[in-house]
Amino acid sequence: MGAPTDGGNLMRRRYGVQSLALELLFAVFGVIALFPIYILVVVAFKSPTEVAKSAYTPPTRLYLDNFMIAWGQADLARAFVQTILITAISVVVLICFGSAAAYGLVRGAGRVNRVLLILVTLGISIPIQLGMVPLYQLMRDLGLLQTPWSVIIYSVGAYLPLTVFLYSGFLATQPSEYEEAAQVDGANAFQSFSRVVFPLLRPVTGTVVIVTSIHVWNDFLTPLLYLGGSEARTLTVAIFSFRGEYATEWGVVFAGILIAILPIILVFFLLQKYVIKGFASGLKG
Amino acid sequence: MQSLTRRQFGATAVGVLATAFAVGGCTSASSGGGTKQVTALITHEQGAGFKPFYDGFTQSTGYEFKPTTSEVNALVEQLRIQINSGTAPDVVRAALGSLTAGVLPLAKEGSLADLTDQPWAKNIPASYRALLEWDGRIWAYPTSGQAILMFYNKAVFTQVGVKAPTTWSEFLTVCQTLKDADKIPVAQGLGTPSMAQFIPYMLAASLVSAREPDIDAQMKAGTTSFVKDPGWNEVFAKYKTLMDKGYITPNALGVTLDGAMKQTASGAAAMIPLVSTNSPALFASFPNKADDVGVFALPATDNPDETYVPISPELLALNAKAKNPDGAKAWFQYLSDPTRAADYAKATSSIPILTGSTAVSTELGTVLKPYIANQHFTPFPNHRWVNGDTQQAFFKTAPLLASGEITIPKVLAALDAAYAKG
Amino acid sequence: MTTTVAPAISTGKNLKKGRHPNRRSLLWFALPALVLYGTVLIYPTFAGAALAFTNSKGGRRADFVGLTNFRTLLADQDAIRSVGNTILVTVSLVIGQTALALMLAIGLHQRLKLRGALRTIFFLPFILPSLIVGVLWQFLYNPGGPIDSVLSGLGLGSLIQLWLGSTSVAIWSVIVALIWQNTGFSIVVYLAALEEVPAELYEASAIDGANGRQNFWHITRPMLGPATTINITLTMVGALKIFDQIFVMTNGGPGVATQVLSLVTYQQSFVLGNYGYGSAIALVLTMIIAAAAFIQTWARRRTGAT
Repeated sequence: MGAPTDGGNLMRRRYGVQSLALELLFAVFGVIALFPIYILVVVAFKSPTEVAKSAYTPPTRLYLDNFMIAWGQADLARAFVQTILITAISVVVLICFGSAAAYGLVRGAGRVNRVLLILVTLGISIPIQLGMVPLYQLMRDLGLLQTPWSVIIYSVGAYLPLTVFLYSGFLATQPSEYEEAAQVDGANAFQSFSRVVFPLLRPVTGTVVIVTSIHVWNDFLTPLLYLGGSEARTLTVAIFSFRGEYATEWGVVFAGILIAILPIILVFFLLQKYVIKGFASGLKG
Repeated sequence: MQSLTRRQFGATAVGVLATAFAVGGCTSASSGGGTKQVTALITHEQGAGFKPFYDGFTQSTGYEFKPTTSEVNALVEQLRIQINSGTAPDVVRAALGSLTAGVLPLAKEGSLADLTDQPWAKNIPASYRALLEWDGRIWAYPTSGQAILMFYNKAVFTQVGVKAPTTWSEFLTVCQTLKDADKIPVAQGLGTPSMAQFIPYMLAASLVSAREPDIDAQMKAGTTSFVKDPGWNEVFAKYKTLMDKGYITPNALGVTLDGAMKQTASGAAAMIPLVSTNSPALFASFPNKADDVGVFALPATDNPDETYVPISPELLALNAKAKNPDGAKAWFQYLSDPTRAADYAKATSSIPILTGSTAVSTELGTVLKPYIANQHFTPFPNHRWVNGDTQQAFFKTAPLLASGEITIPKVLAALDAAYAKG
Repeated sequence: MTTTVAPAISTGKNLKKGRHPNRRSLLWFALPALVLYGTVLIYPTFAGAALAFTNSKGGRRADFVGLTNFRTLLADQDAIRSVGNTILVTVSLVIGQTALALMLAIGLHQRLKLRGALRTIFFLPFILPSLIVGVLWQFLYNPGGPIDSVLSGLGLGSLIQLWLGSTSVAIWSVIVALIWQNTGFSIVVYLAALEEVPAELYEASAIDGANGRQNFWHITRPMLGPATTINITLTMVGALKIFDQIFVMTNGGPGVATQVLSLVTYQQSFVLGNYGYGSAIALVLTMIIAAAAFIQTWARRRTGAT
């Protein structure tokens, strides 16, 4: 472990007036930041008539129909399973391929590696609209449309640049002594990677998991295109199916959103210490 | 916590992938179906309206109707990509006009199947044929007609003591009375640009389309234009009058169509122009649903007989590459039954559109009956424009009339410039 | 910077440098990623970019037209204006979000009692789908809605604007919503960096008599280099691709006040059917993003940060 860090904590041990003032200030900030979420919750619990009267006063009674409609009509249970599956697999594959690629391109010598690394990281710049139709047609030709694999393959490809960017940035600052030591011990490249390098990368893995899973979970257009017409939809697609041409039953949509993000919020709240530690070591790059 | 060794990791990964494959395989297999299924891409509202028919359809024809529903913008995007890639379903909702998912552009590029020989095709009224006809053939099935009308909060009208007007002057008087009673006479949520179309299109039905039935031919030929046409000038002048007299939502640009509906439902506003198929969203916010809402056709002049209503059909088309064209045709046939057409119209707040249909007993049907009987209706003006750019130009300019940031001549000029793109 | 993980191998053996596996063979590790990247991103992008040089309307026929679409783009006032809006949004987001995140992170780093709850609250917006962010803020910005009510209640009624309906204010309202959504992520990145600053540095400077501001400027700030780089890069790239929130809040309006390039591409390709032209615009957008990323990397190298 490195030296005990206290990173700029201005107040060290006392919790005095200054701290209380700061606490109050941040409480106000927190309330402001929370306000839109408050609306999300309030509207989810209101009937359409009440919403018409006022969008932001607390509901006079808890109207649970929105939740039941969202759950039932949108078949959210199945959408949950589908989304969890797609997200989990995409993230796992991303971690494997991304970390391996970063290892290969950073530790490997030679111009080719450097050029490839730049090319892959440049991929962050590409907006999806450009290649959307050709990619869709490629999926069609591969017969993957209406299966979750199309979305998984797309998600992995789309977030590889970011993943490689994060892994390679970190790896470049790590000395290679431990790997070399392992190789002297007779480990081959694979073992050196899996036993030495990959555990080292664990903090960055934490970052990758969070960022990519949120993006994959919330993706709307791609699952809509690729899975349209099949039995299973992802959560976002299912929830947004309630949008009408000119007007929408927002109460139902918001109820659906609440159902969908509740697990994520709980996980983050419980694990936030690890999340931040994860980001922490990931920043050395 | 030690991370897994590569072997353990690999084993877990394989397990997960295998499960996923199994599940994924199962879920997609059930949508395989075979020739008994009729697939479709339709809107959420259409899906809701069709639902009661599924069982009867399967029982009487043996086919199963399996739609995917989508919000309109997403639907258009999906449809375009699917048609380009040959993966579109059997039945598709086609838009009107010249937008990318419009029935005529799709027909011209060969993406739709000819439906001229279908039994219901001869029941399409002459006023709509042009919208779905190209090369002398019919390319879509009209499920119903949607009208643009003025809806109003009955309680507010009763409270203030006004009635639905039948002439333009009466309309202005009603607005003034409402304004004096501290109500917003007409809710306008111009933060949603498409809402800026409703009042102008209602006025244009009477002032442009009715007076100059061949205006579209003239515009294509260049003998007239938005700027030159007295009808369009009058349309926008009247619309602007409402704004100048304070008869619309204050700060309309900051309010969305949703917000305008809420204003009407809460009683802050009295009237709201809407496309009839969206009125269910309005009704939902009232305690007694549709019973609390009244409707009338907006008069444009002081002669009630000159009032025309904009009515355009909603369309379903048959994919030229459909896997089950017979099933799709059977579906259209099934829908065209007069009773079912009336039921569908009732459920979606629209009217049946084929000649010989049963009238609908809703307030909407009752209000529209005389106009239909006297043939006092025309399609929405934008459905006959030569391209989609004109409507886009409308969205970008017309709402700004409310804030005074643009003048009527500029709006008309912008429409002409877009129209000229051809 | 020290590593914090001990190698999982025996250390009893002789550690003299032995043979390394051929460095070039490490390229195999990158193979799966490269294959997927090439298939999913590179090939479709080039295929799509090729459309930019045609007059494709989405149908099967498309003729090669060279640079016509780009010439049309240069003459298209709305598209040019949207480039300006896009750049404005991006620069504002990068500066606003990064600065705000830094301030909030420093504050949150102190041992506040509400730390846990606050960190979750600030991070929450990042979890929401962008469409929902757009809708929520639309509710907030409604005339007479929550924001207006609060301002009036506080006696600040004169500050009320037509948040989404005024051509001059709309884009800033959109930027505020975007900052709300994404700052949480930047905060977490900064928080992590702050945690890594060793305590001895502050103790040493305390002995020297330095105050809080000097501490920040001379100790904390340099240590935040990598975090700032990551935040700026990701914010910038993300900002250039923003679509859903603006689509829902204003759809580019009022007029063209909030029109950004991604919206223009969508309208051209999917509403009007001008696929060739839409692809040309998307291509221009891609080049702007790449240029921005390059400049940012080059500037990073020049200032010597890692």
